[in-house]
Amino acid sequence: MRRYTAALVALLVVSGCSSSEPSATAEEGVYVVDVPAGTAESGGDVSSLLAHIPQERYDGGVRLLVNVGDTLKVINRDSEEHTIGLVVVRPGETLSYTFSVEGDFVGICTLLAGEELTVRVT
Amino acid sequence: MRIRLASAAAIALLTAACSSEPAPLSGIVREADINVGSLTLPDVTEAELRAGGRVEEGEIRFSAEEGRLLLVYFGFTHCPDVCPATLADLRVALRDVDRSDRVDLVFVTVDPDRDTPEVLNEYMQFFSERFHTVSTTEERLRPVADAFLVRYEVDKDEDGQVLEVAHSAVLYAVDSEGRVVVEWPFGTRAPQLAADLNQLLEDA
Repeated sequence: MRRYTAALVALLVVSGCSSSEPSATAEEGVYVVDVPAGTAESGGDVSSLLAHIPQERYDGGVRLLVNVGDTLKVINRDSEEHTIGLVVVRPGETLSYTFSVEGDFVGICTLLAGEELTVRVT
Repeated sequence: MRIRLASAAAIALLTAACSSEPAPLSGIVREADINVGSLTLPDVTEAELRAGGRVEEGEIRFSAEEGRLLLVYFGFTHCPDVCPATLADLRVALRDVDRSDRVDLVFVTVDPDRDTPEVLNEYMQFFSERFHTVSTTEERLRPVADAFLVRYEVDKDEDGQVLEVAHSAVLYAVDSEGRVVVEWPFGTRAPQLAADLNQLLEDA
């Protein structure tokens, strides 16, 4: 398995940045990251944000486990722009991305004030 | 009665055929477009390596020519993995694009101190026979990157030597109206890129 590192905004998902409403899936393999209003203002508390990642998908540290074919859906209800791994999600915008390749993807989530997260896609 | 049933069946078939929608693109499609068509940056491509694209007075415009697609990537030549992997995937993908001659590629460096025009043009020839390269100042680059929603950062030491470069790892497709029609994050496979490009070129 290859490990790609390219700091900052770079790489895939970093969906550990989720927040607010649980990322529990309405559909199998679809993870919803619902960024509530006021997230940027609060500075994004790591523990509270990561608390919404399903336990079986979060193995401690800052690593999120997903499968090829899984989809991340980001809903930005905040008044500020947020970077969720590879993509920048504008205020009021909803984006979806489906993982198509295996690997470890390391990046920084702007919601977490520089905290590095790894997404392992298997 | 038989004729009526046959007519109904034919209408049903036609309706089904007409309502069949193309498969969704693999890349990210935004509900509200990003439009970069009014933006330009200095094109530093050697003349014989350049093809397609709207170049006016040494500046490339970020909109495709009519009937074509413009692919735009922000990266740097010293990138150890993400940039070469993306460009290599694109090269493979274009082999399966029916009208790859209608696809133009722009590589914009976020590390202009090291990526001189000579370095850029030599580097890009590993991945494409024809392309456009852009190298410019921070003052010119930043607003264009912002328009694409590209994020980048170049860390330097006290002597101004580059220590680390971080950048968004996304390939963008821009149409003839300057709209970013799809974004492919790093990790998008070549077959998916090819399928998306074939579909986009049908509408270009």
